[in-house]
Amino acid sequence: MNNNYRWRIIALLFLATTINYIDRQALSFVMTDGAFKRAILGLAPDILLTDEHLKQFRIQMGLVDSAFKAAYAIGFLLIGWLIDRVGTKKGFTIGIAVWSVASIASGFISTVGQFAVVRAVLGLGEAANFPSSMKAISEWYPKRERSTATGILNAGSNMGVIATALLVPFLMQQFGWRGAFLISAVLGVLMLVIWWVSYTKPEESRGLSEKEYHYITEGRDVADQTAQKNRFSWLELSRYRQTWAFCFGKIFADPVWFFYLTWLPDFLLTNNQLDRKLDLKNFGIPFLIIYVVSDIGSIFFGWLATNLMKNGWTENKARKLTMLICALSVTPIYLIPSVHSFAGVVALLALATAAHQGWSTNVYAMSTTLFSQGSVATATGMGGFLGE
Amino acid sequence: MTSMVVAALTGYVVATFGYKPMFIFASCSYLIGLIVIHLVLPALRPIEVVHERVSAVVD
Repeated sequence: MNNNYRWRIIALLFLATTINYIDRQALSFVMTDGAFKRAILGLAPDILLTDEHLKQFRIQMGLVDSAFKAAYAIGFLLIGWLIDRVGTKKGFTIGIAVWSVASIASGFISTVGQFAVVRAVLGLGEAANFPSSMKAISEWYPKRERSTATGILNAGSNMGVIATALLVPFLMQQFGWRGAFLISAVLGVLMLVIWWVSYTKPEESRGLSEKEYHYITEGRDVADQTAQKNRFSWLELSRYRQTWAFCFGKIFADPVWFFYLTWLPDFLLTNNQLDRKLDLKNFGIPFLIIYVVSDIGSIFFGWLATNLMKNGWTENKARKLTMLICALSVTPIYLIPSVHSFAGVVALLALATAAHQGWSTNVYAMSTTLFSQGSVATATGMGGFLGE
Repeated sequence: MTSMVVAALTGYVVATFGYKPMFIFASCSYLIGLIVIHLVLPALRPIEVVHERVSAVVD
């Protein structure tokens, strides 16, 4: 009998996370397109874009991106409530459906107002991804395997960024920006079907062996009950300094990460200091390098802190020194606007994103020390909300 | 919430001053964050919740 059925669930969640990121990241490339800029600015297709137009366009993109994040934060709060009522399967189904409808609608917008509304709906639906996945992991994995499962899940988001860089510029050239949005949306619709057909609770799963079921659920009831008993509200948690230390770990890092995600393609394409003229088609390899290195950063800096502790350091010193190394590795990024070498630009970005991921890994690891079993989910939810 | 505010400001900053200020922000944000974390929590100690919970039950 095969006892590895549960790893299909993480494959499913990885795929969902990848598609979730493609659907949100498509915009970072679409927003470099002239036809899209004219549509957003309400200009005729033959009008030449001036600097004044570009300025206006960037301001509007900032506001549209902000609408996405505002709705994402609200969706993040709603999804927990929804899953508690209708379960993981239906809850995430609704999330994917909402974000896919918004993705399809992105292909049909004709004003910036419409686009802001569509992006807000996208954010509302996309927020379901991580809370639903964490819930599915807690249903399908014994406690000792959950951090591995979560690590794989997180790698799905970088995979999505890379896939977007490989896929969306190509789609834009073949089918225009509307086509690029629509084809990305099809992936979401496919995901909706795949999720609906294949996700069940372990109790209802037909492919799961008796032996594996026991392995997954062993000790789960006791753990869940303890978690329930030690549950805290945000208000209760906000009285602890530990909560704020964790939240500041998110607040000072998340905005930087999201800045890269939204603006890097525009920055690279409009940067005329570079020794190499960039084309939309050239983004695949540099993004592959940057985001694979950032995954390595997450593993390396996690290992570094653990290793320091093995050598007798206190967790306080080990985490803070590791985070200091991460913080210092990011600092050279201020040089980037004046770097001429394209390889240099990619190297600085890879270093900064690797350090960001290392920082995040340590902040999350810190949370499992700071909070009891029942309050850690609430604390990470609160940090996620404030950081996002 | 922070990223939402920063996202809205980014458009204005990039439109007005270009990308330089954004990368300077990225470059110091983590260092400032670490100082703040260290001031808030000089030693990483788990939250102490047991007493309060027990006393609540006793009351």
